[in-house]
Amino acid sequence: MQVRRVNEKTVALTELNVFCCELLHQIGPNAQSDDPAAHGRLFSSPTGGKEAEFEMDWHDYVQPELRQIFQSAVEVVENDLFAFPAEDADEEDVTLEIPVNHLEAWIHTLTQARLSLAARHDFQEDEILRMFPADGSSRALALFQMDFYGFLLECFLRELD
Amino acid sequence: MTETIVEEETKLQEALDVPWNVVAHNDPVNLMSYVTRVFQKVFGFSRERAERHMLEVHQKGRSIVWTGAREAAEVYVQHLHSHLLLATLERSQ
Repeated sequence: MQVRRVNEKTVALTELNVFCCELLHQIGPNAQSDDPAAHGRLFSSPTGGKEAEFEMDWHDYVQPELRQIFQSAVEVVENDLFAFPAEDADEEDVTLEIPVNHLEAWIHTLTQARLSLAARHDFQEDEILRMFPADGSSRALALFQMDFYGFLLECFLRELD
Repeated sequence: MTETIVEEETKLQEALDVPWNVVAHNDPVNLMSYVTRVFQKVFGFSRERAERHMLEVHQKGRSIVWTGAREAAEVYVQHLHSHLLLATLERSQ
């Protein structure tokens, strides 16, 4: 897989295989997990639990706005992935073109997906830093997904620099 | 009764007058480059200043990224949360 700038308005992910396409399609579902731990991380406390009344107001008035921001970003990504890959695409060499003005939404959604994965699997810092070898479990696959999304994030951040 | 109200309003005003800190907290998942970019975007920091705060968060677990009036601090915390950073507001010492 390569990330390259096509022109001023478009970035392309090229040479994608079926596996990469599947990981891309899982960005949205991972970002929107309804797992309580993921929810707790995405909607974190604004006072560290020190001001109960303020926290309640935050829950009632701020969290719905945040939810809408998060949802909007996911929708942009899912629209870019709609009908992707095309039915007649070469399974080992698929290209996804992303408008540059969608990159902010991609960056947000990839971040959301990584945070949700980490919260859902309760990854600790030493696991994220890969101090232990992968063992073939579903946790190891989730870590791989986080790395893949992190790679895309770094590429997109560089594009916007 | 009136005196009580006045006293409560005074206390409230004092609470609002105290400077409040916006504190960013460490998160091993968010990428350093992403955190730096959010600080630049939300606070208008130069890249160098944003990186200093990002490194402080990474190394010390937290960084005071802004200090000022309570209302503005709340808005900044909301902005940081909208970018998925861990942030809280706390009364300045």
